[in-house]
Parts: sequence; structure tokens; C-alpha cells
Amino acid sequence: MKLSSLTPGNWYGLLALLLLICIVAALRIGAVDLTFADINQILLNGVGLSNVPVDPISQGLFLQIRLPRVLLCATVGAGLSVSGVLMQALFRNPIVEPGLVGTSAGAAFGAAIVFVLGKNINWAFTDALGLFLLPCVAFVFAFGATLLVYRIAAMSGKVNVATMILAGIAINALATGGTGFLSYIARDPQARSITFWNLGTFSGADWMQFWLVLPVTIGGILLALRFTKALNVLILGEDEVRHLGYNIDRLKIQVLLLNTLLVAVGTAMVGVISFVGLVVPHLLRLSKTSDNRFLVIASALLGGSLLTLADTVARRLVAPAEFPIGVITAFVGAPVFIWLLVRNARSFQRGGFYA
Amino acid sequence: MLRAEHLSFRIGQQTLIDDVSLTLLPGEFTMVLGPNGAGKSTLLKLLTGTETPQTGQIWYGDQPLNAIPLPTLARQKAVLSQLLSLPFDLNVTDVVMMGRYPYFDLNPTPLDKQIADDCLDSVGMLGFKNRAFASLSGGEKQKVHLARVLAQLHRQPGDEATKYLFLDEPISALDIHYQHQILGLVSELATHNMVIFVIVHDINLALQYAKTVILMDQGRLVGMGHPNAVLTESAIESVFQLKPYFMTHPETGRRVMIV
Repeated sequence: MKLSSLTPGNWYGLLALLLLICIVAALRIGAVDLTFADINQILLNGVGLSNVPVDPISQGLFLQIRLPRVLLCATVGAGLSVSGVLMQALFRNPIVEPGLVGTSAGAAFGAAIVFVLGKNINWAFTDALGLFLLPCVAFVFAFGATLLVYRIAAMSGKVNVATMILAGIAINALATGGTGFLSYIARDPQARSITFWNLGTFSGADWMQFWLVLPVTIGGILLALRFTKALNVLILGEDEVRHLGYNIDRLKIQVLLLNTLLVAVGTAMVGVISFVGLVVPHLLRLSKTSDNRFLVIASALLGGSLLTLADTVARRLVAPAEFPIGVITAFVGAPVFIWLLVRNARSFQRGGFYA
Repeated sequence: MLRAEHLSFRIGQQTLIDDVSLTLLPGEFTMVLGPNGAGKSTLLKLLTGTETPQTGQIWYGDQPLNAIPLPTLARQKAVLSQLLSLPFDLNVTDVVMMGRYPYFDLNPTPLDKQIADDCLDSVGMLGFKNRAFASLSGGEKQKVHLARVLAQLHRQPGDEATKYLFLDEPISALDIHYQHQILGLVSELATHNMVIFVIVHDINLALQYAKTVILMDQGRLVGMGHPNAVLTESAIESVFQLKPYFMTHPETGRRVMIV
């Protein structure tokens, strides 16, 4: 049976199953491998349904470190992938992803500011705002960077792809330079955390982060679904969006805000993870359809699965040490990106539809 | 009824539309003719609200255009622009279903699917319903887009509201068989309380199908009225700088232009 002939419902079922398998596998595999019996018992203990003694180190490791990490991973993967869908639809271009248009670099710069300078602001880490300071600052910088790239690219009235990529490079360079400057003036431990964070890492994951990212991501994905019809019409062109009853200017700013929210909240917690937002929607476009209603839900499920898988590899590859997950997603994502470019070039020659 | 009063539209120093007033009545198939750059597409953009005129006012029925909420307007008015390129590939059905977006929430109802199929059928493209849009020829794409705007204005029994259909060169890529089939279809629609505004280049098609003709040149209306009254020898010669000859169709007795 061909994949493209499955109904969207079947797809969601299969992808949800894949996500479940990835999560269970990720829970078992790591620096310390656990058995299913252990996991089962620890979970039952954890929710207070039983009280059978298990190895306390395993139990602590599982409940306090591995479980929140795997769940955070799936959530961030879902958020980044949906953000990729939104960006590609908004820019009307298949090669856009949050890393390319400044969103991630902006968020990284904002976070670096908090890392290095935040300690000097007394109130920031002492009262409750401290927890939200990092995502808020990351969000503001991510939004500023994306908006700037979008405005420059759309200066002539319609989004010019060449201008967009050049503006993205410039804004990325600016933000990276800023981050570099901050790590230069930073004291050693701060600098190290910036470096790690630029490559992305889930090693600091805890329940607090998960509970912060989860509602934003779920809310963001539900909101994204509301924009999918208008984004589908945007495939035809901006005027058609208006003719079918949507306000194009409001749509653009809402989608840009939503996308930044999804990227910034994840990036603030785990750092810059590239290419997930690019690769996941494309795998789905190629195997089923570019209908954004399908892409949003399916990308969330597939993105969660793939990032969980990548993180498992990151934990296992050089265990007990850890690999930065950004390296793994880049090693897998870059070849896929290149393959897409080659495929694009071919469809250009055939008078293709990526123009 | 659509009424426009004293529309003017400029971009920089360039005046694209210069003090145009007109009234379009439902049931009158209106065709717009004029040389390249006469302002036909710009006028269509002003009348549909895509662009806002610097001066002048547009009324749909008794409501000013800018006072009608966009979702309400989308159920009354449909626009087919000139050939659109798609950055992502979709199925033919997906494209036609967009015409039903103003009517359903997230997923189409069986009725919407039925309407989409009917509209594809009426332009002769039902057999292509599962094809990739990008794999179609230019003319086939044009027919699918036409099916989309037809689906957008599809009437349910009991819906007697005035509808507005704007087509910008809808038949430019079609062979003569389909040119006549599509124009026949559109003029049939006009009789059902619909205002129809179509930009064409073929004067003979206008003489055959239009109830009202608008002749434009340099952003102004040169004439508006019955085709035989507007498309005179002298008007065509002054607008297109070409001397026309008129003959009588041997069967129908209608005027036919040759150059």
C-alpha cells in the first residue's frame, strides 16, 4: 500500500504510535539502561499506586532526569516542526526554517544576554520572574530578528526569496556576533554554558522546564490549526487570502508571533536545534500533501519522534558523556537540506513549481 | 448591484485609474476591453477591494465595500486572478476546496465535497480530481481555478442574495471549444442574480456574450453600454489604433469584427 493513499487519520495514528515507541525506547536506553519491568514499577511508584522498593538510584534517575528530559524533547521537537510548517507557509517557500530567518539566532542572543548580564540584575533571579525572564527575553529578540528579516524581504511588496536569505544571513551574523561578544566578556562557566547552548542540549532538562514548554507548545499547535486554512490559501497568493475572507496583514503578524513563541520557548530551555523545522515538514510534504491542516498535526507528531530519537543517540553515542544534540540534527539535516536543493534545481529545469 | 463613484488610483506620479464611475447590475454579463495598460486589472482590484482608491467610494448593494467584514464578503464575491503559480504542490481537489473555506470550520462537510465535485464537473475537470495541480497544463489550471471560484459562490436552495464574480482573463489559455463552454457557463450564471465582471481581449467574444461592454483606455472609461453601441468602428480605431471591419454572421446575424 502506498503511503500517500493512507487517509490523514491513518497517518496521525501511525505517527502517534511512532512517537510512543520513540518515547518508550528513549526511556529505556541511556547511560544506564532500564528494563521494562523497572520502568513499569517506577511509574507505578511515582504516581503512588504501589510501593514496591526499586533501586533508589534508578528510580531517582528515571523520575527526576530521564522522564522529564524525554518528554521535554518530544515537546520541543513538536514545537520546532510546527514552526517550520508555519514559516514555510508564511514565506511561501519550501526551504525556510526558523534557523534561516533569524528566529533561532535572535533567541540565542537574547538568552546569552540573560546568561551573562542577568546575574548582575538582582531582582531577575531572586523573585518569581527569574524563571520567565529567559524565555521572555529570548522571545523578544527572536521576534525582533524574524520581523526584521521579513520586513526587509517584503520591502518590494511581495516576499523576495533572495533578499530574505541575504537578510537572514545578515541578521544571523549580527546575532551570532552579539552572542560571541557576550561569551568573550563572560566569565568561564557562563561562556561554557553559552557554547553548549548554541549547539543545543537537553542535559539540563527538569520538570519545571517541561511544565513551562508543554502548555505553550500545545496551545501554540492548537492556535496554528486555526491559521491552516488561511495559510493554504496563501499558497495561491496574498490577494487570494483576502478574496477568501482573511485579513492578510493580520494573518502575517499573528503567524509570525505564534511561530516566534513556539521557537523561543523551546530555544530558551534547550538551546539552538537546527534543521528539525526544515526536515520534518518536508518528509511529510513528499510522502503525503502540502495541505497545512495535515502538516501541522503530522509534523508535531513526527518532529517529537525524531528529536526524541536524536536525543537518545546523543545520550548513548559516547555514554556516559554526552553529545550536543544540535550536532546530530545538523549532521542528519544538512544532507537532507542539500538533497532538497538539488531536487529544487531539477524541478526548476522542468519549469517546476518551486519558483 | 455594484456602484462605484469617482474612483481614482495613483501609484507615485502615475495615474492608473482616473475618475471612473460605473454601475454593474446583476443579470448583465459585463465584459471589459481595452489595450494593455489601460487599467482593466487595476479597476478590477479596486472594485474587489484588493487595492484602495485614493478617492471615490464603492458600494455593494447598499453597503460601502470597506464596511463589509471580509468573511461575509467572501461568501458574496469571488475573484479569479491571472494565472497563479503555487510554491507547494496540492491536489486538484484541495485547490477547488479552498473555494469552500468560507463555509466550513476545519474540515469540509460532505455537502462541500459534493459542491467541489459538481463545480469541477461543470468545467469538465472532474476526471482530474486526484491529479497533482503542478502536473496540469496552463488551460487545465485555469479551469481548476474557475471551478474554485464557482464553488465559492455556489448557491444553496433558497439563497437568493446578489453574488459578485470577477474574472481576469479567465479564458486566455483555453482552446476555442472551452472558451465558448466557459463563457456560456458564466453567462448562464449571470441570469441568477449575479454581477459578473470579466476582462477579455477578444472583441468577437464580447460581441457574442456580453450584455454590457466597458471600453477602457489610459485609466478612463471610453464607453459603457450595449456592445453594438460601444464597440463602434471609430471607438475601436481610436483605442486600439487599428482599423476594424464589421461583417454580419451568416447564421445568427450578429456583428463580427475582422481586422
